Amino acid sequence: MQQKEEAEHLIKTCETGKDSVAAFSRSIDDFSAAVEDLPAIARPIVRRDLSANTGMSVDEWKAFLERLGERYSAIHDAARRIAEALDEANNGKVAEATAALKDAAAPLIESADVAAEQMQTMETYLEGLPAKINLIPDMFMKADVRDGVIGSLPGYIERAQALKKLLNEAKDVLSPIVAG
Amino acid sequence: MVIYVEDSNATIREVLANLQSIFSGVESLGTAVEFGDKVAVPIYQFNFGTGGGGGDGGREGRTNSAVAFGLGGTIGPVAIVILEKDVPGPGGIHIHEFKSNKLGEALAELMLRLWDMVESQMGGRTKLSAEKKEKLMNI
Repeated sequence: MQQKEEAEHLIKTCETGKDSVAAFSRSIDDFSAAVEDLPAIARPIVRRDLSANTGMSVDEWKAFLERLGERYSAIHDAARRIAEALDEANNGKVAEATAALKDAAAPLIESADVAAEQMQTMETYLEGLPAKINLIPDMFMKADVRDGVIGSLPGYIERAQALKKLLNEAKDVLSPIVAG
Repeated sequence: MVIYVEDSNATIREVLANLQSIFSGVESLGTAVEFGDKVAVPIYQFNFGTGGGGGDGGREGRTNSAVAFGLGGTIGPVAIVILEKDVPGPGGIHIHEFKSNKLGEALAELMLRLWDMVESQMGGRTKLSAEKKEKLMNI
C-alpha cells in the first residue's frame, strides 16, 4: 500500500515537474522572442549578458529544459508502470518497473542539485534584469516594449522558483526509492 | 552597457581612443568635433572594389584589343555619435544613424568589444564549469 502511495505521489510530482518545465520553457521562448525584437545593436549584448551571467546561452537553456522535461516524462512513465504492476499484484512486473524507475531517476538525482543551483542563478539574473533594462537608452527600446519586458519578469522569476523547488522535491522523493 | 562620460577632456579622449581601436577594421571614426558641452564623432564606412575586363574587336586586318582595370571606392558617413560631457551614463550618448543596417552591425560589434573590455576590467564572472554544464545537458 505504501509502495502504491509512493508511486502515485511520484507520478503527481513528475506531472507537476513536466508542467513546470513547460512553463519555464515558454518563458525562455518569450525572452528569446523579445530579444529578436530588439534593434540589431542590442541583440548580441542581451544574448551575451544572459550567457555571461547564467553560464548558458538561450539555446543551451532550451536544450537543458528539453532534457529535463524528457527526464520527468521517463520517470513518470516508470512510476506509472509500477502503479499498474502493483494493481495487478504482479511482483515480477513490479521489480522490472522499479528497476526501470531507478535507471530513469538516476540522472535526475545525480544532477538535481546542479540544476536547482542553475535555476537559482537564473532567478538572481532575472531579478537584476529590470535595472539593466532601464539602462538601455530610449532610442534602442521603446517605452511600451520596455514596460512589457519588465512587466513579464515577475512571472519568469516565479516559474524559475517553482522549477527549483520541484527539482529539490523530486530528488527527495526519488532518492529513497532508488536507494531502496 | 554604460559608458560614463564626465566633464573631463581626459575621459573624452580615452573614450574616443577606445572607440577608434574598436572600430578599426570595421568602420572608422572621423575627427571628433567639440561644441560646447558636446562632442560629435562621425562614423564612416569604407567600401572599396576593383574590376577589370578586356575584349577584342575591329575588322579583318585591323583588329583591336583592349584591357582595362579599375579601382573604385566610396566613403560615406553611416552615423554620428554625440557624447554629452555633463551627462553620465547611457543618457549621455546619442547615436544618430544614417544607414540602419550597417550601423547596427558595426555598433553591435563595437558594443561587444566594449563589453569585453568592461568585463575584463570588472574581473571574471562566475562561470559554469564544464562538468556542471555536462550534467545539466545530460540530466
